[in-house]
Amino acid sequence: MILFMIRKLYTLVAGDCAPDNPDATQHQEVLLGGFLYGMIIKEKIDEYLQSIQTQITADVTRGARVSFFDRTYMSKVLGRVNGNIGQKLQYFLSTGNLVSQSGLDLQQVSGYTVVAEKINFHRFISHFRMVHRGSFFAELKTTTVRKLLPESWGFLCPVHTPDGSPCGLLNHLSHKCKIATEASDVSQVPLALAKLGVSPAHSFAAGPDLCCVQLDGRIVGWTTHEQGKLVADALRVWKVEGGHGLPLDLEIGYVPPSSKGQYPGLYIFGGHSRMMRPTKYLPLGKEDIVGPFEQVYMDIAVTPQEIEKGVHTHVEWAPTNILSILANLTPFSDFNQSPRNMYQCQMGKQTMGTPGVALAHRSDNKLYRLQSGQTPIVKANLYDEYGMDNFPNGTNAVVAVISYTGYDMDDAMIINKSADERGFGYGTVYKVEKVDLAMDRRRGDPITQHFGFGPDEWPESWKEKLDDDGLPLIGVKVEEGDPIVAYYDETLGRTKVKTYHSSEAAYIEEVKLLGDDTADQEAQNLTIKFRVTRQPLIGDKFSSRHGQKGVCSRKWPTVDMPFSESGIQPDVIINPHAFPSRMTIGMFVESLAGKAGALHGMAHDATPWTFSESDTPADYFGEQLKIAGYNYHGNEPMYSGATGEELRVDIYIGVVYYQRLRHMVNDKFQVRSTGPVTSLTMQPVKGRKKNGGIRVGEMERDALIGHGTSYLLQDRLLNSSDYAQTPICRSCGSMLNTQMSVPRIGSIASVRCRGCSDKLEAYVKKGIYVNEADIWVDGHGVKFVGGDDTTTIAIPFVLKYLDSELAAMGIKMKYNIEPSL
Amino acid sequence: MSIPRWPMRSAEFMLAEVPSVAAETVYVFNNTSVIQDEVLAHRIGLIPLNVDPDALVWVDPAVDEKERYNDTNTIVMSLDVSCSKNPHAPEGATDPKVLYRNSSVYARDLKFEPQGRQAELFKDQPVAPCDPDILLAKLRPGQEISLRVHCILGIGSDHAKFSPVSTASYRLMPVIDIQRPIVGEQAKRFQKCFPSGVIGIDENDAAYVADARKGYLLRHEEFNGLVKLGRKKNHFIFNVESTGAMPPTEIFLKSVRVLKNKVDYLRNCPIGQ
Repeated sequence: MILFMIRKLYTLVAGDCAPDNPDATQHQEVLLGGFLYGMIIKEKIDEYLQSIQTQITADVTRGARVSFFDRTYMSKVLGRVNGNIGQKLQYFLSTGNLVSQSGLDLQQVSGYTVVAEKINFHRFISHFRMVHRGSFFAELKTTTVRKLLPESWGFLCPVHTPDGSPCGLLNHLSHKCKIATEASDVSQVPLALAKLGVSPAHSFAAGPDLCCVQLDGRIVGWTTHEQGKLVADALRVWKVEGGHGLPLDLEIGYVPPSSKGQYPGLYIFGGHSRMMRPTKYLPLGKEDIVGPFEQVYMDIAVTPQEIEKGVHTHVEWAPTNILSILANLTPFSDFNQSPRNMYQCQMGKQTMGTPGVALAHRSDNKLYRLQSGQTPIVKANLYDEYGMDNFPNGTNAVVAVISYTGYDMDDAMIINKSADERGFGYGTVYKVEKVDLAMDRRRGDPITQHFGFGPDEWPESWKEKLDDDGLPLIGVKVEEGDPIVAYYDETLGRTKVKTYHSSEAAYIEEVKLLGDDTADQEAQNLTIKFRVTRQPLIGDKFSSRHGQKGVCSRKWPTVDMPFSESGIQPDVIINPHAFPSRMTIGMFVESLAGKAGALHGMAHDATPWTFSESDTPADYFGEQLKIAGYNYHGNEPMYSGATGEELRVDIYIGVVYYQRLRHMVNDKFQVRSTGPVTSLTMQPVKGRKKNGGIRVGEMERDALIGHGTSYLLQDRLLNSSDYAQTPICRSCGSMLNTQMSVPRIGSIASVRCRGCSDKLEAYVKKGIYVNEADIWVDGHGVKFVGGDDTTTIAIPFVLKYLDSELAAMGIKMKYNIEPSL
Repeated sequence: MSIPRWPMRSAEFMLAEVPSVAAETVYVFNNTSVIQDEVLAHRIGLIPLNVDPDALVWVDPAVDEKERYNDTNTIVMSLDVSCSKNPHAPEGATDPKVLYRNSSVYARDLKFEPQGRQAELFKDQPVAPCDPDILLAKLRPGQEISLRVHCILGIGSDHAKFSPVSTASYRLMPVIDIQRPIVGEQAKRFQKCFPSGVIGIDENDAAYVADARKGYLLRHEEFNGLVKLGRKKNHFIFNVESTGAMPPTEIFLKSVRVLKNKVDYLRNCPIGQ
């Protein structure tokens, strides 16, 4: 093997073969969780044994009595080493940090785990189909590792990757791609090779002139290149046929000799962690499992129509096999501009949908739920195959593409008020709060706090929200400051309550009392599940399944919405300007198909690549619309809801599946009149959580300057920010030298400049008479004369801070005060 | 030809201004089902009730809350259902309707509770949902719903549930003007461009307009120049789908009355004089 490697290296250096591309899927396999856990456990056990050994060695060198048959000695030794391997694995799983002596030959130490979020089912399932290239590559400046290479066809989805920093690194497996979790049985492979006339590995053979046959990185034989091709073909026939002891997922990668191509040979793999996918083997008409290494040298037709005799050996079961689960759910994605399909893969994961089926029994921190989930009228066949109807993600809405009222400008959408009142897009957020009474209690301390009301006096108003047991009433509405649970503090002899902290009112959904693990003590924990109702509001985000997101701008009264000849009014109005630049034709097709489906009471298939140039969906669904008595092209004459007159043009109206995204104004809006400030600069703090302000930044400032609105600018940057008044000395121009004098009999406190005044002593020494009224005293009782030329100015407080900082560096700031009286 | 404007307002008033009765307040005493209180209440609110709106008077929001609702302006309904196992269910049954009793709660389970003189008033036509088969909730053994509903008079512009119609709209009378004769095969194709009955074919194989009223106007390249499609601007065809409390004709007449009242109001308005 080493000789083979050296030979390959020489060939490479001589320029006779190309280097293997580490970024190509061809040369990659997937690090699976199970194997990683195995590696960690193995190393931890090894460490454990090592430390036992060190203990015993230490005992031996100390001369202590060492006996492996003495139970007490052994337990003493074992007791001195930390054998809690489970804890270490738990740490790894919860933090994703790898603590390892050897590093396990991995390129990163952290970021191994992600939390499988259950925002909706799309997101949840995507987490289990995700492959990351490794955090090392994320910092890499070059983009080569992120490129979509043709080698990954059918293994990694070309559509489903996030845009932005993890683009191309965080990939999703194509929906038919599987990863071998265990090594296949390859024991019969050498026998099969021998039968095919491959000379054994120990036979005299060498050089690139011969075809090296390798099995999982071991040389198992040699043959000629011509023979190698035949062997590969025969092996494939045998493994697909079955019955020769060859596993179906055996990868037979025959690399033919070429000029400056990949180093030739016959490479056979049956190991674990390989990506695999099913295709149809044409000679036998049976399923073959194909791996990424061999695929590069195979001829797989995408559709049965394009099979060429003598060229193709395989054909895809379906062209959609290259797409991930989510990418497959985008209807008519073959009609869209490709980035829009990527956006949809992102947005499908942010949708407020149905996160699970046992919602009533879940205690997730935060759970989004759509009340009006429907099955889409237009859906890909895979939608049903994956049982997505159990987790609906949106609502079928009648959508008109029209510029109406002006409230649909810039990706805004108008929602029909009546549709809203009938429950369109209604959703709920479940939040769970944990109350822990044992927070400050140390281990072993007696329990002093108990849930429930105590015998002391407490406000009767608490009983409005709380039941006799001190726990909240199920279904009661709580607002900020309302009691959510009462508990009695024994040491103080007082009943206290925990209050609800959120400006948004919620209903109590469920209360769970939690005992500790041993269950022999009074419960000290409970969780309260709150239900926050979220009906669609102005500012909430919606999207279709084509990367067309928009914000609800108005709930328009039904009577003022346009209506069609048949009296249909749209649920949603979107602006036609959303289409030309984005080219999401798939949305038009979905609208058409949705309309046809709704009229005929059937769900339409929206699998990509089912229509062609000669058989267009416009015709297919157009015919259906015609039969139902509607316009062939999907547009209809409509009447204005304001004047009642016919609109001059026909309006494109149809049924589109709309998703409600989880970004809602109620989680985002930020207002403040006055509020907390940072003590250093006296400027408003930032952050919505802290009731902070919104920064008027450089660009905003530029805009205000550009508009010449200087008063507004001053208001934003000074008056509403860190406006401060400070005393300053006119004569020396210093802001920091001023101070208040201590009031004395005959004179009130006044602002004096310490720098411009002299000590009274100096006057006394020189024998100059000082009028008693001119003398002032500081806090230490020292008397001064002069420094009374001070005044008060308005400045931003940061200026004073800047002055102080500069003073600390020995730089004095001097201000000229004008008018100088 | 002046284009009348009142049909638009009339359609608008049918949707939004003609009053009808719907549930306004739901008092939930117990709800252990999986459906949330507010969602259940919302569903109950949307049930069309078979009540003559003229039998009630408006609720006066100025009156103190305790005395606001009485037998003249409020209809009380109650819903008390609990689900239990069916002891006589056959072995191996999987249908919840067979396995359990009251596994589904329907609109018909809402029971009218006459208040004061209502027993007399609604003697002939007790208050009930227009469609008794609207599914409200699903229950499983041990779960129960107990609530009371107060139904009042309201208008559709306030909330869609008060709208007496599912939809009410109009379209203009289509005009199909065959300018040059369309005969033979072309006539048949022409006939197919419209809903059945719009275009007839006479004994000379020429197409003629049998009933333009049924027609929706569709445009086809083929017949450019042969036929002129248009709409009669002062011929309105109304389409009113009542939710069930009132016949469509009554709703239409009421909408005209609302319009008339508004016109009268404006006429008597001091600003107009």
